[in-house]
Amino acid sequence: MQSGLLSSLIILPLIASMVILLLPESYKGSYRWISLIVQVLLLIDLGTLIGAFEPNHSGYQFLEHFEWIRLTLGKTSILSIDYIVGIDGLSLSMVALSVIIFFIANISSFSINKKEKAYYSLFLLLTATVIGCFIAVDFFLFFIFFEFMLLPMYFLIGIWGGPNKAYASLKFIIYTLVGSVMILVVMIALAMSNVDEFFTSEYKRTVFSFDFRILSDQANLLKGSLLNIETPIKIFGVNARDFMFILLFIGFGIKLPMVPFHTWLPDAHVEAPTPISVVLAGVLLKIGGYGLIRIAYDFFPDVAIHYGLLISIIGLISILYGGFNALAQKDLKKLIAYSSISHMGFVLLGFGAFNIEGFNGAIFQMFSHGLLSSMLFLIAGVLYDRTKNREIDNFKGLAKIMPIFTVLVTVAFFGSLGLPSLSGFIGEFFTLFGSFQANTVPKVIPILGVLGIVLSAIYLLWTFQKMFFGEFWTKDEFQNNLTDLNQKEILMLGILGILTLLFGIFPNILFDVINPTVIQLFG
Amino acid sequence: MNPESIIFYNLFIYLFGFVLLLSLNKSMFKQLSGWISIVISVLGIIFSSSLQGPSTENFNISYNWLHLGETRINFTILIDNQTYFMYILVQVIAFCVKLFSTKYLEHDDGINRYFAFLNLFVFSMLGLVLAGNLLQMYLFWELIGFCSYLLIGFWYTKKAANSAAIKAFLINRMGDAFLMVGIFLLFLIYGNLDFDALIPQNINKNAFGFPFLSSQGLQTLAVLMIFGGVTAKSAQLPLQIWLPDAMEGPTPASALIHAATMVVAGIFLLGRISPIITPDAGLVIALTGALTSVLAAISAVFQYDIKKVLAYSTISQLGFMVAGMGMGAVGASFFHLATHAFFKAGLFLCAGAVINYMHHEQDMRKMGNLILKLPVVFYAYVICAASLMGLPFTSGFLSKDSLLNAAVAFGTKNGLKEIKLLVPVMMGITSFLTSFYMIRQLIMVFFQRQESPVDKIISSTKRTFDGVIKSFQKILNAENESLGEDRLTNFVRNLGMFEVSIIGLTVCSTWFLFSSNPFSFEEVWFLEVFQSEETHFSWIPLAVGMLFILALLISYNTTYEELRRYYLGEYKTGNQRRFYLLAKNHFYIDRIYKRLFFMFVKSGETTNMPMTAGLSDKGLKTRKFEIAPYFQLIETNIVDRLITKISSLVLSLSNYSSKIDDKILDGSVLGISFGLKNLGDKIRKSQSGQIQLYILGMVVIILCIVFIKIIIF
Repeated sequence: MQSGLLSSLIILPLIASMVILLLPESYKGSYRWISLIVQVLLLIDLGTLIGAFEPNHSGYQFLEHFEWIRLTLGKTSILSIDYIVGIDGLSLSMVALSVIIFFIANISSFSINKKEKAYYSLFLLLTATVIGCFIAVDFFLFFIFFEFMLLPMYFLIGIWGGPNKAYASLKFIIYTLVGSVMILVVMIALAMSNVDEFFTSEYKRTVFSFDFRILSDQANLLKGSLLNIETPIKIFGVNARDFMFILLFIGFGIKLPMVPFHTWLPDAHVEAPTPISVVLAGVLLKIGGYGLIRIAYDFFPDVAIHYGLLISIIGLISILYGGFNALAQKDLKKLIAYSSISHMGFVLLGFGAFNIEGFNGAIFQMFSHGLLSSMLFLIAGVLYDRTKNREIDNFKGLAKIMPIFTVLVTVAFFGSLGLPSLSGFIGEFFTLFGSFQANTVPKVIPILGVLGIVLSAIYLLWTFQKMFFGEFWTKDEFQNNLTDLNQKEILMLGILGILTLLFGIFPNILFDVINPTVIQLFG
Repeated sequence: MNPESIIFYNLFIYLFGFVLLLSLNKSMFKQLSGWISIVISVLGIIFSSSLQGPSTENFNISYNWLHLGETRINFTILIDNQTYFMYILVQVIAFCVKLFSTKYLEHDDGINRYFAFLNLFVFSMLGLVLAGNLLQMYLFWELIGFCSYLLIGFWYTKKAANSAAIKAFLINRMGDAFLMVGIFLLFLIYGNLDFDALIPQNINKNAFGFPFLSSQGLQTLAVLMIFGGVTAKSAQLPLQIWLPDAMEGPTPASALIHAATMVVAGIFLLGRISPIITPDAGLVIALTGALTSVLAAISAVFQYDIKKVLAYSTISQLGFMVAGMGMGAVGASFFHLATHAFFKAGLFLCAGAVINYMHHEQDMRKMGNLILKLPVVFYAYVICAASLMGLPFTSGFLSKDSLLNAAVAFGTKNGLKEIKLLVPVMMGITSFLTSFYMIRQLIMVFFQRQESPVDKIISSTKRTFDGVIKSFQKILNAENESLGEDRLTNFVRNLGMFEVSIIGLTVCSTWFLFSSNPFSFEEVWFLEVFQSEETHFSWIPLAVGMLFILALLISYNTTYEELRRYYLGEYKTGNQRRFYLLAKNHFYIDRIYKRLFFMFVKSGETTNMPMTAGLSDKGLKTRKFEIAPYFQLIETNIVDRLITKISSLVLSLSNYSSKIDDKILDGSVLGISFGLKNLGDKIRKSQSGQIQLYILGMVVIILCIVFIKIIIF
């Protein structure tokens, strides 16, 4: 079925990005609307996708396959790189998340008044590459999108960021590039070890492929190649497959982020403008988790099972370390950034469990964190827009003058601290649940992980109390700026709040979609 | 209607009430929100009364909720006798409380918010009692905690209320963490979270990952973990400290949430899992409950805040119920839960009426003489207090008798030498202390005394009973002196909203709602549906009565002595004072938590922190050990610095490499090019343009070539 639906998810924003670039400066006011229209079109696209998606079908759907590069290597082999896009349950959930978050971030971008042409053009480029990452079914294509994402991100932080933007954007790009290099190594090794049997017999030459479907099937491994299972080859004294898995784990772990490769995150978040923080926390971090499942776990399941303990421990450290650090923060955005680290630790804990419950929980947690952290960053943005300040101690008793804001903040904070009936709870509960049921993980790890839930309650409630309760007080210069939410902000926070509630009460909406994919992974 | 749709509509109207009232924030109907929510309650009671009464058949219906691989967790509605009683009880008490609140909060600006929260609470509480599996219960368990947080912190500009709210939520969170681990363990043991499946036969014998523990031991551990959750929600040792502070909320909300319904959720949960409570776990639970009840009763004796006395009394009574559950006396414990809910809610509402009359003064020493001013409240208070003390003709008599009976049976089952014996002994002490502090409170709040601080207090028994008679007459005359009308009509006409709701609860605190025979719990219809104890010790009610008389004698004197000292400004000194402070501050358990908390967080403003509600800052200034800032230090000094070091290393390396690049590689390239250029320059100089020189050069070169040729060949 070559409907072009998926490709349009990439091509639409790319075209719009070009259009904005080519429009003369006199059409300045229209950039944001062009961008918004594209985001709405993407939402409609997404709606069609969800409508036509068959949840019980476990493989990729809506596949579009075009030949792209056929590189002849010597006389015996061909390197085939194709343009393949397709989605399964996992990708669909992530695509849905990104389309929603980009839509919200686009509305939030309306408050940006500097160099709009460049901003919206880069923003749309970012939209296209991020979505491309989630729907690519060819490793080479995935990697191109993965790398290309850095370009708009670098400029979006570096130009529209806060005072320390140059440092933050550089740090971000260096960290991510280091991860990319590791992934690149694995990509080449994988492609050189897997053979597309079908085309091999057709061309009478060995055809090396980057197709995910071929890479994930271990029957396609070439005998005697670097990554074969029967006769392991050592790299620095480690089995090649283990080595590659670790490279992938670190590469995607930096993106996730996991402790100790997380320090780019607080800086990038604090400096980035609100909509970019929203995208960064809401979607970009999920690419790390997505990559871990789609690539690391799917291509190296035999290795991954041995690293369950290590991954769980790193997840636990992330949870507690992020939580304690969040407790010490004075800047609201930094606190949210560290809470992100803590919450993404649950994702690692779920991965470490290496069972169906843990994986489902981890994917749910990614989705829910996407909604909730976006909400939190928008909240920080609401205050920053009004006062150009984010210090927690500068605000007291906001509940009295900003009642609607307080209601929405309650949803976001309590969602983040895992109140049942909001989506955060389901993710945390099932990652811990999976971890507890796993045979490879000692019970003490999930038991300590439960502490993370207490910690998040402490730092979030404390902040909530300090900023929103008590008698109203703030610095004199902010006093008149603090007004309740406008309709745009109510719309953004309201949509996310309702989604959080929806997925918290009916988690099966999401579980039904991702469950077949997860079962297939273990099948 | 079938039960399914009844329950659906019933839950829906409360949720609808929550949303509707919350949206009334700026509307003109705001003042009506009390009446709207009363209508909702009435509808709710009508709906639930059409539910089928208790029977041996349980109603059970499941909806597909969660499905992860092999694990299936359904959304199950389970109605058995426990559920049915709680279902009605919660709504009836909520109705009375709402009635009371319409007057109590009539001038409050956030009245719609208050009633919205109350409706959300009733919704969550009903959800909890209907829950058919542990995860579902956990869901509503946290929701009621959330409602409690909202209602304690209802007056959000008050600092004390905020601190109390956050403290309540955090302590409950700790409990929830235990509960969650307990749920995981139970899933490991039983492979299922449905309450129906939690029976000893279903143990999955080979799926344990625990060293050193038999399946019995693991089950004990699981039950104790669940009990950890119960200690927070039902305010048991060592997580009971949030409840006294929770009294910062509006009094009617305290009556509903922190006395009658929410705090008994833990008892309810214990009742649900009672089939799998192992004897070891049961003993721990019973001892914890009994110990909590004694400690809380001691603290209650030394409080001056009218609500704090009742709060400690609640902890103490909850200890009774928990002990009952630990002993396996599910029916008795549950019966006490039901009676306690009514009389304690009644007491709290009376306290609310008193506080309202005193213009939000809560110190009992400043009250007194209210017997004449609030006669109806006084009588209601006496009846409810009698019920709490376990005097005949009240519901408390029956339930306390049955609980103590079970305790004595439990303690003496294997002779008198076991640690089990401590349970009935401690519960006996608690009974005495209960009478003691209730009499003290009655005297302080209601009885007559002379207001002048200088005079010696000389209120005699006679005077007091004069007051009682006068107050009775006053009720009948009730400020309306016109003679033509019937006294009873006057009485009814002059009843306010306060009195009506209080009387409602007081009536429910007497025996006839539960039993036809006021003297024997064996005829309680309530207990018939549970299996009850066979042995019946008839001396227990007599003993309770003796303890009451003893308490009356002692308390009557000491209370007046206490008041005298208060008026004269005398304070206790020495060991006496030390003991007094120890008991009043509930054995400084609070302070331990505060210390613990400070280990993690460093903050300039100590008063505005979680876990510090109800504590002074004295003696806590020297804090040496804080963890969270250290983490931050690690973050900036080690992790980040490491990265910086690496990057600076890379930078300096690149510096060198760029120098090498500059000097050697580029240098050589440049050197070569410069050399060539110089050469070119030199050569250029030779290009003078003189043809003669060129010809000479050519000749020389040709000669050279010729010469070379000659030499070589």
